[in-house]
Amino acid sequence: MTTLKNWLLIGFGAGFILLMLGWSILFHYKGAEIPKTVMTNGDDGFAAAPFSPSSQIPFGTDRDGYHMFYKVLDGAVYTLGAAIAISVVAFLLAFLVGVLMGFWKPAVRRYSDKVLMGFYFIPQSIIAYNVLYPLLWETEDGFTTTLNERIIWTILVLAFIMLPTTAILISNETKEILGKEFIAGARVLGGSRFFLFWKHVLPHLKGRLFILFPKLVIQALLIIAHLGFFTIYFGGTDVCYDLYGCDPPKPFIQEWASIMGTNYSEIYNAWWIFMTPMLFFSLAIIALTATTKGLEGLLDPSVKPQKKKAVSSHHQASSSVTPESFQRVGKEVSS
Amino acid sequence: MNVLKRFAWMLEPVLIIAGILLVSAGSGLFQTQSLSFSSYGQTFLDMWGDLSHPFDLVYTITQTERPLFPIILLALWSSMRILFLAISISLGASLILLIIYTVSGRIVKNAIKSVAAVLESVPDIFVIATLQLFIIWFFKKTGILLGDVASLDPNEIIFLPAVTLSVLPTFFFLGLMISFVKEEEDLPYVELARSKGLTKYRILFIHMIRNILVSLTYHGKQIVWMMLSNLLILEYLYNVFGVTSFLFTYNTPAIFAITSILLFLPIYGVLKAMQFTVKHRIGKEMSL
Repeated sequence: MTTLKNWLLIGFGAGFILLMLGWSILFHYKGAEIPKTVMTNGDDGFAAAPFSPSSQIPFGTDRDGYHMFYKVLDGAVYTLGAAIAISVVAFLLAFLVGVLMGFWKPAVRRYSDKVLMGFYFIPQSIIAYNVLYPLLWETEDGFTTTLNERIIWTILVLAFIMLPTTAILISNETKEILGKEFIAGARVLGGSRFFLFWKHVLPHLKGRLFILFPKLVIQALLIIAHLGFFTIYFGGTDVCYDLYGCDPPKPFIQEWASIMGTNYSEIYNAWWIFMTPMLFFSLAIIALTATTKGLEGLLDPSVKPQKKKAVSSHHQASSSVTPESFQRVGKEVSS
Repeated sequence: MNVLKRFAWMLEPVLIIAGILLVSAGSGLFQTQSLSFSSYGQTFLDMWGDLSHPFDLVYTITQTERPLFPIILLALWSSMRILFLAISISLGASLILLIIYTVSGRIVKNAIKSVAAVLESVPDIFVIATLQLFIIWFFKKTGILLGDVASLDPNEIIFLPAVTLSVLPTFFFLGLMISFVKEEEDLPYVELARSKGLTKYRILFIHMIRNILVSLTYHGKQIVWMMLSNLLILEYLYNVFGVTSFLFTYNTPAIFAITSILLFLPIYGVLKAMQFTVKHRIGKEMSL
């Protein structure tokens, strides 16, 4: 029963992410043309964009008449793709560093942990803002970097920002496993460090790492979203320095955080322009959380045996004596 | 050696502050639009130069320079008020929800659990946006303004941001508390109390809640981490005058370092105080 529930959670979570990614890739493959409705002249008379959500246009249109749903679909591949890319890099680096740190001597760890602890007291998005501002904010002379360079640097920087906290987490797990009795046994028998890692630490660590990954993707998504609100858009912010009046800063890539960041003020007027990407963003995060919960339920060894124990003791109690006499007392106690 | 031991407790905050300083110079990394460690080093050194005389630091606002020091404490005060008010609100609200949870039947229990699981994972910006949208909608429908959605006057709005900030921790706390209650229920002292005939509520309120609150303190670092990043975006979107202004608008490495350290110290103090109390009253060692 619980296994089925967990699989359902994973299926829903991973399914939603893969569906959005796949559909978005297909959409780009087909040319990424966003449908546009600028004006209508229907029964209610003449109307112009932005249209609010209706049965014809489920998520409404933006001020230029582009359908919001397709805009979101267009951006899905960038936002989700970037978040996954960032987490993969952060995950691999943190795995290397974390396991190494787990094997370090306690004396060294005491200092390294404390220095890295600073990362818990400064929000990651502000660190990212600080580091990425010179890279992503267009100067008056324009960019010296290409779009692809900026994207790669952004992914790397965000991965490095997520590295310390993740590495501390993995190193703590490693340390915990290394503190177990069977490790002492393996050490006494002459197991080398690599042997310990490969044969004993990794099998125990594997399950926890599975749980960690979707959490990292959530973190990356949140950092990208925060940056979008601070008008540092993924892939660069197009700033206009024209003397004769300017548009506000624009993103180069229409990904979710950028759409949200540029349209936050719409919440007071045409709220759907902001809330549609927000809705899909939140759904993505809920989907990832569901995946995490499902994986936790499947992999957590502490859940199953406890339940079995409780059930078996209950059976023993009920089978050894007549049910009636015990039920009454049991009811009194539990209520 | 004895002297060294006496100052050992200072090592931790000093090392953390060193970490914060290293991060503060991060804006130098891409100064030239490409990765350069020499410009990072230069920024770091410049920052030290500025930090050597902190009370002469200035921030620039529309090309006039103003002294940083009294004003930043005001900003800090406003941010801290929001933060600690939010923590109190979320603790209170989650306790009330916990009581409702224990009192109610299985269907309500499952409902609370699943709502908590969803709300706990919703991103902070969604909460802020939905709340603002709701207030505007409510105002349009009824003409009653539940709270100001954006502040114009610096010291104006505290309560609404605090309520917004408290939403996520409330459900985070609730989720933790529910699992702690489950753990505690199997412990011998609860069984003893039951066998002595104490009521469910007496056991919960007098005996279990204390232990649950202690267990919550173990997650202190994680809660702070979550709330600080929410506070940041919250102040930005509600236009509250708080430390965020100094992290964004008037941002230089030295100001960034000072703001972060000022933000860190009171929180660290509270965490340490909790650690001390837990250790003295219960004897359990709690690491940060």
